[in-house]
Amino acid sequence: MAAARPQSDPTKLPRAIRQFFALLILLLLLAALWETLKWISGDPWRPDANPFGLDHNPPYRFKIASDLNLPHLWDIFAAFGKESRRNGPPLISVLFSASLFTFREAIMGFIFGGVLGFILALIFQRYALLDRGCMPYVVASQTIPILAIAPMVIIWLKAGWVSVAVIAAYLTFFPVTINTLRGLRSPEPTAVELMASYAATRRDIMWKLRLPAALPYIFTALKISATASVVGAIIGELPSGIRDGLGGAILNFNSYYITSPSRLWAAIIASALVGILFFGLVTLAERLVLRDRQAPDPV
Amino acid sequence: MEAVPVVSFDNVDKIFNRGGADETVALKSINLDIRPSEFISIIGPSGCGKSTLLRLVGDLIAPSAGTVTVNGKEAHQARLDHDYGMVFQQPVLFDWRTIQRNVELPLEVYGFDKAERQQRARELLQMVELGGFENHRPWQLSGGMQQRVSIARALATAPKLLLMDEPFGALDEMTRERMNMELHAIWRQTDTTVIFVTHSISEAVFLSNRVIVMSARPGRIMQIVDIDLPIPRGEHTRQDPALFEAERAVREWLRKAEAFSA
Amino acid sequence: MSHTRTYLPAVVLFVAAIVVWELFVQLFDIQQFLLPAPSVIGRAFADNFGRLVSIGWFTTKEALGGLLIGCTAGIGVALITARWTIASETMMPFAIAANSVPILAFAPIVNNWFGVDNPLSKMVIVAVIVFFPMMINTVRGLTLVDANALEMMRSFATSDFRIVWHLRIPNAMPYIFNAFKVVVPLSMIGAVVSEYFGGNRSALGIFITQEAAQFRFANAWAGIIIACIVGITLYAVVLVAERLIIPWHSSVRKQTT
Repeated sequence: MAAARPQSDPTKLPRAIRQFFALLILLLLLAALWETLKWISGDPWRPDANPFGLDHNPPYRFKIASDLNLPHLWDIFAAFGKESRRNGPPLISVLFSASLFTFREAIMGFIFGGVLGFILALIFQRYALLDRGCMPYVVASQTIPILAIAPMVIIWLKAGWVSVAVIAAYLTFFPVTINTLRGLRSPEPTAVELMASYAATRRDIMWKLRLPAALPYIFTALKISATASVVGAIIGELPSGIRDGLGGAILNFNSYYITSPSRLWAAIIASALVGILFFGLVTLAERLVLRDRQAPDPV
Repeated sequence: MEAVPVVSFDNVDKIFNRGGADETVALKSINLDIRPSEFISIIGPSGCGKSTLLRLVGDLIAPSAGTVTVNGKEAHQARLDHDYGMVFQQPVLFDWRTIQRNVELPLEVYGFDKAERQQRARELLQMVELGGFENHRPWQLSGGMQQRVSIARALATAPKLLLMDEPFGALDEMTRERMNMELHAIWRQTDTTVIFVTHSISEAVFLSNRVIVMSARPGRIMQIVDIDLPIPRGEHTRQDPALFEAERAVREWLRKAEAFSA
Repeated sequence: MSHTRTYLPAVVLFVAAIVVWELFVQLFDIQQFLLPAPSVIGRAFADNFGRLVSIGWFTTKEALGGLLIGCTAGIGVALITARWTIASETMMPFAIAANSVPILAFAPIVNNWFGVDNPLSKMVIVAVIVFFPMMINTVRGLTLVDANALEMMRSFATSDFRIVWHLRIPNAMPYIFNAFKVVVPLSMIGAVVSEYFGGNRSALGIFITQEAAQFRFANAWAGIIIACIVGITLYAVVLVAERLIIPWHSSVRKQTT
């Protein structure tokens, strides 16, 4: 009976505030852990090289915490402002345009892959024989490390953002197909019978029942795909020799790692932000489109 | 000599979300004594707090005011002492256990040894007429059979008190009548006190010594109707004019309760 | 009989696809570097078989090591945080967001930490890739428990530990297996791709890039086939384990009702 539900605890903070503080605490903890590791086992802290003017000689020396392998956080942040190469533009503007470039590849791949995945799902939903014949290959296609084929895809399609977008698309379509199909088939048989009792056409059933039912499933897939397409774009750039994106930046700064490790860290942080941003955008779209639906899953 | 009550409510209130915008007074000033070996049903319009009442006895929720006493001790202590067995509207069987092991679950939790557990579970499955299904899985059984398993599980520790929350609500009428007969037989065999929440008048009357009629918003006890049908009950009871008379009385009080609630 | 019905269309299509591919390459005289014919790839596979097996095994060990570390950590963290629902509920959105970080971008750094040639550097990358899906799924499985079942366990007056043991963990098993199905192919891809950033010469990722760079595409394809075979085998192992360990779950059990 509804009345017997557990009561909500009035001492609990509103969810959004709680999560904001949690994020803050999490980031601070991570930063503290990072610098503690350096305090215990990093290279000596020189007073002129840290914002607190500390002079400290760590008792241990671990390779993992050296200034080369784990730069101080402030050094990484400072690197964003410094020039990216001698007399070049500041790193932050280089990384910003690289992020835009990679983001564009990812979005193009995301759109190609999403549309392809959606169409495949519609076809499989309609024709059971095709579903039985093709589905095992759709599944098997994902065990092929597409990222491993990337070098060859690049040769087929010529190096350029199109070939990278194709790789991103390949990673995108699979979750969309699987989840859309699951969603299209999610309505209860009785719901389909109800529509049939109205003598609804196949098209009506699709538009009024199957597609609305599939929407939450599709968004779940798009969130997975958003992440996958960013990974695909970054990795796709590696063998293609494209130097304008984040993958290129990572390769480039990796080769100068010994002289300035902070730049590689900065490029990686930019990649992480692009991934989170894309994911966040899809989540936002989901909230908007599904705002009238019951929250399906609390976690 | 008046026997010590098995369950006793003393001026119990239950308020959900107290102080909040959606504060709900689920139960108000409940006073009730339940006698040993009694079969007592609780019936009332939806939202009248019958399930809440049952959960207070089981200490699954705590009263906002007043005290609930079970076997002469606080309900909380009674739960810790495993004084009762409970049957829910859903059978709540674990898919990862066989039927036999589902019945054994509470015994396992209470630390009975393996041989005793198995012996007891087999006996109980015999009693609910599911001998031979020990190694089946829950999903292989029909709804009625699943609910019989959950009754066997509730009886596993031979509790003196059985709490049942609309256990047959999801079953069809024929199955429900058969289950009523079986429950009646089990009750007579085991000498257990049963508190039975239902929304079926005929079920309540057929099974009970007393039927509690509740009103909603806030939940109160409207009337307690004594059912003086001879025991044991069976097919003959369903033809008894006294049964119709009792059903009519309960229905009348329910109607009043609904008017009162509205 | 139902097996033939399920698998026949797939098998027919597979054979047809190979034949069409072969004919397509032969008839239109497609150049080697664009798309080698299946027969050529097959020959390359046979010629390099010994080498392919040894480098395949090297990379498989990296994938397995990463899986072991990542899954243990993911399940462990989930078990610990699920104990405090508020903590895990608050942390979940961040775990999900962290899962959208392209972990492979960290490969160069990790290579520097543990040494490019050290398989541990690849295992760590695989472990981090595997960690988040595993943790997120396990937390879901531990927390999305039927409220009725929880109430029943409470009616038994049982300890939190027993609720975890008898109810939450069995409930999480199907979620954990779903995570395994996602994570196992990822682990192989992760191992191969993290080798792109440099690594031991006897590794699959290095082999594929080098052969492709020198236009020996049939060899590169043979390397990819090895990666596929390993991925599919690991996936099959998960399916079999699922059948053995959770035969009661609806995704596995036969239709008997």
